[in-house]
Amino acid sequence: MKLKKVKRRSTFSEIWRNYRKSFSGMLGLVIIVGILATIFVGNFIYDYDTDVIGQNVAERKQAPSAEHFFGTDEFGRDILTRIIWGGRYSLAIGLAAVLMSSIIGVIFGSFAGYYGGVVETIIMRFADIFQAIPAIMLGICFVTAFGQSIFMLTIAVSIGAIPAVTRVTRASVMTVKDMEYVEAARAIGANNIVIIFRHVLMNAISPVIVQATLRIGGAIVGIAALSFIGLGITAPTPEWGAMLSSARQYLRGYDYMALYPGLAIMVTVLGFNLIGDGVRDSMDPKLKK
Amino acid sequence: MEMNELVLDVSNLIVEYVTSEGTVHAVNDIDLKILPQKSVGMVGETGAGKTSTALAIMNLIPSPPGVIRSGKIKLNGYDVLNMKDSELDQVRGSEVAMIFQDPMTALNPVLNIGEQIEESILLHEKVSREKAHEQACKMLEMVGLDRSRVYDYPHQLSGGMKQRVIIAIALCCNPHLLIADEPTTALDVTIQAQVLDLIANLRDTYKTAMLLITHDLGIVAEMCDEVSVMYAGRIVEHGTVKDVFTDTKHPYTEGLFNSLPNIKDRKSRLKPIVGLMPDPTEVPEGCSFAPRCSYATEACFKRRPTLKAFSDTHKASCLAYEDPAFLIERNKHGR
Amino acid sequence: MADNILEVRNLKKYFKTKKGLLHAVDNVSFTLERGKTLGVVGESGCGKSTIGRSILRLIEPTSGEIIFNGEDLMKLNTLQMRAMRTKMQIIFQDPYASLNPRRTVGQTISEAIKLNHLISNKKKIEERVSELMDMVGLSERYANSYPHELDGGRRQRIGIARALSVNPEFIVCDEPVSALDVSIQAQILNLLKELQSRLKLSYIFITHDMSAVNYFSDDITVMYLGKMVEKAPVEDLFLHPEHPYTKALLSAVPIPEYQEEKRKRIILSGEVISPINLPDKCRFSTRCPEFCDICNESEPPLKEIREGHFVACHNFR
Repeated sequence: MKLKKVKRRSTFSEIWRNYRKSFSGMLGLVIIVGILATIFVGNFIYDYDTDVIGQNVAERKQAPSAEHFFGTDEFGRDILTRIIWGGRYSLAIGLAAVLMSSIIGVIFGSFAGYYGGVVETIIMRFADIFQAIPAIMLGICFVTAFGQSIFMLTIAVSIGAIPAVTRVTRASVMTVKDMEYVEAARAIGANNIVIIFRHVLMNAISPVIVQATLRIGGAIVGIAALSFIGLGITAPTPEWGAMLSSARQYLRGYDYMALYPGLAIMVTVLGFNLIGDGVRDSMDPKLKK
Repeated sequence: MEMNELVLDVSNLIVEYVTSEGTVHAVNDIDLKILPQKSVGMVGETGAGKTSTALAIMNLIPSPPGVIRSGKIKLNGYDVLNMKDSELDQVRGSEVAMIFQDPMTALNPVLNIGEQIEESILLHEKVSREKAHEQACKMLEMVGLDRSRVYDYPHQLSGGMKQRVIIAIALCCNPHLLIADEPTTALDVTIQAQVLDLIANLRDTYKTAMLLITHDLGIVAEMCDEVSVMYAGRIVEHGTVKDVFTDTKHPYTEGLFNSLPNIKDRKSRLKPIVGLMPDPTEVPEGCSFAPRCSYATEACFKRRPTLKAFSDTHKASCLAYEDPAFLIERNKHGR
Repeated sequence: MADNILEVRNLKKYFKTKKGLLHAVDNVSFTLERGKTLGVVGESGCGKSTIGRSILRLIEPTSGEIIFNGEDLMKLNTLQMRAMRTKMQIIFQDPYASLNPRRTVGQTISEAIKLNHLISNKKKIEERVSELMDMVGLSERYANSYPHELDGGRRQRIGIARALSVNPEFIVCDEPVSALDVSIQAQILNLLKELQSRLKLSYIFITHDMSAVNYFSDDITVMYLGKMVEKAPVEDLFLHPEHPYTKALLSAVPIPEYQEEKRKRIILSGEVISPINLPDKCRFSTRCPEFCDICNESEPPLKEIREGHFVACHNFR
């Protein structure tokens, strides 16, 4: 009797199985999926010119009501509409920035950890230098120098995180590179690039992924911060941080104008942090069995 | 204590570990008796239940997930399983002491070795610190280390020396029973010889009984009076060393002997036992060894054998012996 | 004229440490006949693992010559050395650490084939993997399993299949069964022996287990702190050991037999000296039961005292 091959359970389905066991992870997933769905639907419901930036002097600074759930801002624009529309920038730039910093950081960190010596020293000292400057300063300098297009903003938000990713990757790579299966790969004739990407990185990547999911929240705050000081998304396009900034002068009496964008940031960041917890729990090998 | 009163009397011990993936049946109803000053070897492979037995004797089974389902354990008259932890603390270290397998992690790295020996002395004997220190120095000499090392830290010692310190801690309160769980597995062979020699000498000097857990039949032959062979949580054969080595009864024991390359007898081919250890979460109806046994019959898969006595000292559990003429290969050609 | 697949001459590997120079392998020379097994025994710190890896240049030797099939490996550049690797393989000790936990059994075994472009057709590669799994006694249904789903014995078989996948002539077996249960050890040793005769392999068998090496070698060399102290054909070594360390080593092995009288064993005293900054005297002198004055003055050279039997001891000056 030819026994059937054991069905291949890919690493992803294993991870998903573990992820489902995490309460915080599932809660975070629900929150973020909800937010994404709302933004997606909002794209088709609202028209940019009339709903989002269209000013309506008659309806200025109205408190939350049945017609305007979150009230209106100083130009009469519906705050809820603007929050839903503006979410795309926070999420898109936040996620893209994390992706960018992860890729760059992983490449530098792997080379530093794997090769050691001069390569490591150069990379890590650069990382030290960049890490010594507050991330927001780096962002500001970058935007001031290169402009405020979406692409540049993404880079600006990602720069500050690159040293941290490099460090984590390097540490993880250093533990893995001495494992015997790496030596085994060398023994069968693999060259360094194959070894780094197929054997070392595949096994060193878990802490990096966990750290990345936890950084999404920070990236969202990062773009909000840049917009808050006017260096991010420019008016009249809504962005949560920018909305917070313009609401500053109306805090006395019209606090809802700041409250709701603030809540949006908070809930989104919370959602991603919960997902990060879930990812960490699901990848922790000690929790397996 | 009367001379024929047992140092250790274990009956009907069942130990399980309840996990989310099933219940692991680690120890499945075993009896064990050790007389004063006797050494009993407990032999088996990984997962046979030897360490669980040792921990149960000291009532140290980690309690979730471990559960002692049943059993009576009398250690020098003390009913171990029915005592409170505070009462047991008096027993552990002074009546019974344990030497664990890995000398590298059994010592506290931030205390010097003198302090670690003294700790045990001070816990069990009412003596002053100075006296305890003096005793610790004497113990170091007894285990072959210079007393000037009493202030050394574990990382300054080699593996063999660390194990000697552990032996000193174990024996400093003169326990009646010493449990040694694979005490030399992590050591080089010449260091192993030194440490086993030391254990044997001290055991004779202190007149301690010993339960020596190992997978190495050679160590059993050289150190023990009696031996229990464990498989899948049960004792499948028990007897004096002479009984078990020269008149082997159980097919698993025979399989162990056949798997060993013998340094004195260069074989042409080893005869390993086919297959693997059974899954400890499943307890089969019949004999646990049947799937791997070359003598197994249909009855073996349905009925579980019980320990049958072949003499005052020798028992084995195998259905094949219901036929009085049955002999395993090892015994057919005489030894 | 013996057909020597491997000739090692004056192999040295020194490591620079903070405290000084660590002599891991110190001037070791030997030959290995094609189709035979050389056992390398010793305790921790003797350098046996380092020798295995140095011969394959997985660790770069400090100096020496490694003549494999007539060619000195030390003279090859990286690319040439990589090409050589299909002829010489290694089986590791730890079945848990030597397999990439994120690759399936099939992927691990086929990797060497793909890396070295030995077979190009995907289907043929699959067939070859099946063939290899069959050769090492691994059921085909495990091809999509991950290492952590299998036990130690099966994982070791994967390692063996991987080593065989490139059709090597020579395999370094670095403590291949030390991490396994006794009954599984026997299975793997039998498998290795069978593969040797079937595929005409030459082995270097590194171990600390004297009984296993007795079973599994043609010649044995005994190492102590990086130096070869004795080398002889296996039966000669076990029946007539000459070096005091070899005698102590053999005596220390517990024998699984009932003995009426406890046999007399040689118990070594004293401590192993540090392998860093070794002085110019016999390295075993601090523990040697047959120690005499000259042992403190110089290192004994390796001498052939009878046919094929070499000893490095001042007793034979």
